[in-house]
Amino acid sequence: MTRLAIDPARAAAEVTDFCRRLAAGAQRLAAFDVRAEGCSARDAVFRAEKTVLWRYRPQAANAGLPPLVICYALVNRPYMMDLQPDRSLIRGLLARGLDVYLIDWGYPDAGDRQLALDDYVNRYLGACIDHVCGARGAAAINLLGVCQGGTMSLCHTALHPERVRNLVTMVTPVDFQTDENLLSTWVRKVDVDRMVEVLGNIPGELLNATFISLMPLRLSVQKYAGIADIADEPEALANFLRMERWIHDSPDQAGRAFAEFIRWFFQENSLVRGGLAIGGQPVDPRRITCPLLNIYASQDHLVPPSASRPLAALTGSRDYTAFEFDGGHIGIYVSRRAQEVLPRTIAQWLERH
Amino acid sequence: MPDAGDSLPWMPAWVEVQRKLLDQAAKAPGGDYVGIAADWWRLFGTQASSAATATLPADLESLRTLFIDRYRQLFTPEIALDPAAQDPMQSGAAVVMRWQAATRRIGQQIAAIANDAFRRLSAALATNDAALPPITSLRELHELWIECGEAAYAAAAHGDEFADAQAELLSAWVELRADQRPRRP
Repeated sequence: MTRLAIDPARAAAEVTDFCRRLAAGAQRLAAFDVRAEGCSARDAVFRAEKTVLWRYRPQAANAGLPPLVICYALVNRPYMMDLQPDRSLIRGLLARGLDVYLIDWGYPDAGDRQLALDDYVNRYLGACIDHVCGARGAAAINLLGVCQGGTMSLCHTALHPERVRNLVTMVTPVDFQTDENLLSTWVRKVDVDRMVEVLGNIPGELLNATFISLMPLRLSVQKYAGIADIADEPEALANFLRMERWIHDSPDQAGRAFAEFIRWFFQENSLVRGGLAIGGQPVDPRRITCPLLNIYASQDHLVPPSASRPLAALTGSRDYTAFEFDGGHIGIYVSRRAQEVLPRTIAQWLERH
Repeated sequence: MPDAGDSLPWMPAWVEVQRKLLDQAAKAPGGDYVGIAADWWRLFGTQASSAATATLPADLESLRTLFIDRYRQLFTPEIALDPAAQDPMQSGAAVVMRWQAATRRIGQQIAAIANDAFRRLSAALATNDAALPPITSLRELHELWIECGEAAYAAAAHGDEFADAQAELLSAWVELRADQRPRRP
């Protein structure tokens, strides 16, 4: 018995139509220009070497909350937070009257090879927070860490608890060695020190290909075959191309910082097991006592919920809230439902604290 | 963007495929992801059309080799070494042999995954469960293939053998790169 019940004539027509639509969609895509990095008006208010701190221009009456500093990952570019007008977490936060800042780490080059995690977690992030506090007359800021940037934000908060009034982590790995974490399974086998010794900085393409390899058929063949489905929808094609551009816009990683992150977090899992020190200072998560909102995605293939949930028992905070979003690692930024749910969840939580 | 020469040897080819994706697809689908998708539809369309009245999975089996080859190409593109250092006499024979062994090892893994994916697809199509809906379009067949492929991949990729093979491929390439660096007199 077979489930196949495909009519030959229909199959032939389907193939012809698919190839026609695929080619048409690809041709239309070639005409788009999606070079803009983000869509909301903003100003560069502080620079430290390649790091740029952006402040977004208000779009609503100020809610009177402390400034919100978004600490994005070193991997990929932060304009995912403001991809296009109808897919922008930042716009959603601005619409609720938040004063939003975003840290852009830039593109490390050969001169940045020796940058350490200490530089990112203490020096650059610290300088950005100093600037915001000084400019806004605030004693502490609200910090929103995204993915790897969430891990870095946790470390910064543990090292400088007085500077962070509330901490929000989004799709942030905390326990790097859970069973579902395929990336961790692979990375734990890598001789990262030798890699950095030979390569210097780590090519962004290598990381990008690794991420695609986590679900290779869905993230390659199926995704590109999907062009045929949207061949006649200019807006959907533009969305597709913006996402493609972001996915493949992968900065190289400063060699030393990359090696430290892989070794300390993925291989030693030291945020959970203990023993982590950055810049010579022990990072003790129990020193994080501020209110915590931990947002993770139920279908995240990069940072599975099991990697984020352990934050609940890790810190010294007595005010911990978990929010599970029904979606994946990318959908949590750009899906339509995310635009409705996440800015509201974050803003309302901040208003209560 | 970084210099392509700074990435894994098959990485530039992979990235180049992405960059040229639109142009290639518009001209002549064949060598990239879109091309594979298009080829899949064409070939499977032909097979499925005849298979609708023939026995299964015998007819599907005829596609197995093609899929294995194509997907192996997708995951392990050809190595592109620095041309100036491709002469084995200039490179350390040991690191070249290590690289070759590593590519063979990962190739075996990919082939096993492709075989498993095909086995899963055949089983899904030849099921005796009358409650499952019939597959009436190539699109549904394509979705089922992706589902089977990801399931087979996940089953292997979480295992030590795959992770070891990947790590060894990376290490072998790193040593190859180290060997290709200009030697001091």
